[in-house]
Amino acid sequence: MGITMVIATYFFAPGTAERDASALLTASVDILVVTAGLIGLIVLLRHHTRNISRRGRYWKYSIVTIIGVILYLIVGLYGVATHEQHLMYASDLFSWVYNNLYVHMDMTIFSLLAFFIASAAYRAFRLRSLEASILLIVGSLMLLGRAPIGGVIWEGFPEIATWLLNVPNTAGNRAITLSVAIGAILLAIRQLIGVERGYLGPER
Amino acid sequence: MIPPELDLFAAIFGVFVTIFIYSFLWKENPLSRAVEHLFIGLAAVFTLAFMYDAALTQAFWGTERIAEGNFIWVIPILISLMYFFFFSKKYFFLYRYPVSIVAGIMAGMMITGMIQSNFIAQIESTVTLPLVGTGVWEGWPLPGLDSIIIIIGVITALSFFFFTWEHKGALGISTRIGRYFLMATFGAAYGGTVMARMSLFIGRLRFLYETSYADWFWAWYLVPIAVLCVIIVAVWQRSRPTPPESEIPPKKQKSKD
Repeated sequence: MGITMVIATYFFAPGTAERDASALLTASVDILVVTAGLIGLIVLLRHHTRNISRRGRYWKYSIVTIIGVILYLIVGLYGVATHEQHLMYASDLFSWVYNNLYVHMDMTIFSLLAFFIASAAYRAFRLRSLEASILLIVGSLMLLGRAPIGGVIWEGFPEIATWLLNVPNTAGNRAITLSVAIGAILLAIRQLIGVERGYLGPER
Repeated sequence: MIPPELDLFAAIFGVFVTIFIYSFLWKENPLSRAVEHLFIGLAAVFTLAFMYDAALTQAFWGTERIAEGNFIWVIPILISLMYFFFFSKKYFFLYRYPVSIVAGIMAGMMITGMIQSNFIAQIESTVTLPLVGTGVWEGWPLPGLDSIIIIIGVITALSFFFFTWEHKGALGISTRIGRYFLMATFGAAYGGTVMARMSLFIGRLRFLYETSYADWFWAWYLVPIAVLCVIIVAVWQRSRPTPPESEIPPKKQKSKD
């Protein structure tokens, strides 16, 4: 499959049957992985059901997870039954639950990091080396430049932040992107030639 | 059609979950833990719903799909059903077929996509940087200096990831400069992350302060009640006897190494 994708992309022009075949393969991934998602949900339910039956650690909270899954699934299946294309997220009630209930939890949990990052910064940003100093100075300038108060203190802060973002940050990010690309390509080649087989799961 | 009365429920739910989750900052407690578990359940179903919609659109409702009589799209559906052999000990090997197909397609996509967008495009945009002109920051003393800084930064930061030779001599100097550029990148990423998380936090505060329903209900009315719930649960938790053995997490074994 992987070799077909590579050959179709590099050796056949867009519009040819071979290139179309690779597009079909790409599209079929969406169909293939949905069952993997369903398996994931079943495994989650199985884990929490076992936790309840064994009275394991935090078993009472497993009940909350299961109730959440079942209720939201019922809402989703109601959406499937009522939506003209039998879609789940596109149905009104499901997207309402997402926008009005789920998003509250999502935003609050992710905003917790604003507090933890402060204590992490205290540990990481102590002026113990030149690297830590650069991290501290750039991080502080970015905060001052991006927050409205920075521009009020000195109008140069936003300009400095823009320069830091566009020049040194671009250089570092580009090096990281290139390195990640090389690593990802090598990992893909290892998978295709069968050296990397961890994705197949455990031996049974 | 969603009844507008549900907005009141959403506001009440939003206030309680916000306060319960923030109570984690004081101490992990049963309320914060319960909301976390509820979040995991909803997130799992939401992810599945997103994948289900994408799959159904691809298989049925797209151009030349099953809805238009093109039954070739039944094949990936049938292959995907082989994932269920994950639960069989005897036929577990059949589960590996859809996994291998997806891994193969994704590997092919990764090779082509990464080479094009993350490899060639990045090199191209580095070597085609203009060396004359004002640069990114107006008022910078030397024209094109920004481009030179970016080029030096990319080369030196790349050398940091080069492990074939020991980082000594000229390579050592290059990796040290590269490390400074990487630190600047991490600093910028840190600033961006803090700003994003702070804007989320401000969003939550604005929700608590500004959300209302039909001019008689304001979300912040419920904030003291939610805080009181947290305090009552925390006091109740402190007064509880020691949990049974099954609820105490096992201690981590120290490695002999």
